[in-house]
Amino acid sequence: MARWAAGKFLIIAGILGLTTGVLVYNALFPILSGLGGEQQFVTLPMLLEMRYGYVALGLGTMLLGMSFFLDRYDPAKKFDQEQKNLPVLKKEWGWLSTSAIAGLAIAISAFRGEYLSFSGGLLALVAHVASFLNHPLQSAPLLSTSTAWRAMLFLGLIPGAFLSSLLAGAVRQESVTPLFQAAFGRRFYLRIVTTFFAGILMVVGALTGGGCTTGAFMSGWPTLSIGSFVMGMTFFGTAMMTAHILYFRKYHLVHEVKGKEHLNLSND
Amino acid sequence: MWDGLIIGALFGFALHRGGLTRYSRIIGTLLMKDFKAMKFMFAGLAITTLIYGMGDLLELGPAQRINGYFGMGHIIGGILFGAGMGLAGL
Repeated sequence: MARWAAGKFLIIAGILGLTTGVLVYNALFPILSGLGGEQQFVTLPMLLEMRYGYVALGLGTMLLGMSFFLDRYDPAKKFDQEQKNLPVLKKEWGWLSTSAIAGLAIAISAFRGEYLSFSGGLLALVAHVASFLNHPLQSAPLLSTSTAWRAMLFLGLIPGAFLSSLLAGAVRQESVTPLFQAAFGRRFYLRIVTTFFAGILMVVGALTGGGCTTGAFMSGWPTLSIGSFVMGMTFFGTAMMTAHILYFRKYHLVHEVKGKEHLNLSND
Repeated sequence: MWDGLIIGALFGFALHRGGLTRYSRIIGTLLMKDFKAMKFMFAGLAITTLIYGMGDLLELGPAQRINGYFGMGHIIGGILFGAGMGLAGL
């Protein structure tokens, strides 16, 4: 019961962090929106003076090849073997099937004339709620069917992930994941505080820099936008540096904990 | 508008079911100890890019919405987002 309650607090901390992030971004909007000067709509095919389709096919083929290359040398693949015999709705699915669903969802959104981005979706959701409460956001003053679509997109994320969790029997999740415990101790308050502040940083960062992992990376890179390339490379580089600083001399814990705790959808 | 809800749910299902909501998957990828999240993202990117590329060559669309380039905005935003991502493993 304590675990269940603790898990709920963690979710609440995450949602509070994300919402606070939108409000912080909105308050700082006049400063943050002017950081890079006037926007330029530049893409890789424009720089190469080539047709979009040829560059896209080249990049897409290269990325697919990289995925298979990474799969061949994935040092954590051996830890997933024990899940192979579980029923399909209980186990974690492979990278290719789940990425195909995600990739198709992004493409379907684009063919619908929309853009799949969860940071943009959260901003749209908060903007609609704020407008309903007669406090429109200065960072999203114009609301439309497109902003409503993005707000619904964000709202849909929650039942989708919950359904998967329910089917996998993973709803009663550990409040402090075993790897975090091994690295920093079983300090629940620390996990809550980091989740809350990380939520703020991620939302302010995503809205300032032009998108999150989905908006700037998974939806942005296929458009071959230079802005999305710069944003994606900057946040992945920074995230890798941050993780290396936090786990300095503790890198071995990732495999140790995976092996010892049999990490899966339910306990990680 | 309601199809946004369905697409969001589909994406949320794929993220959870693919293990992308797992702390050890994200931290593992950032520490280069577990490539699952990286494989998911590269393959998802590849599939979308190939669909867009074929769509362009066959003139079927979709019309692209291009994210603008705004220099320092990406750098500052990227540093903030990356710090949060590395801090919480989200």
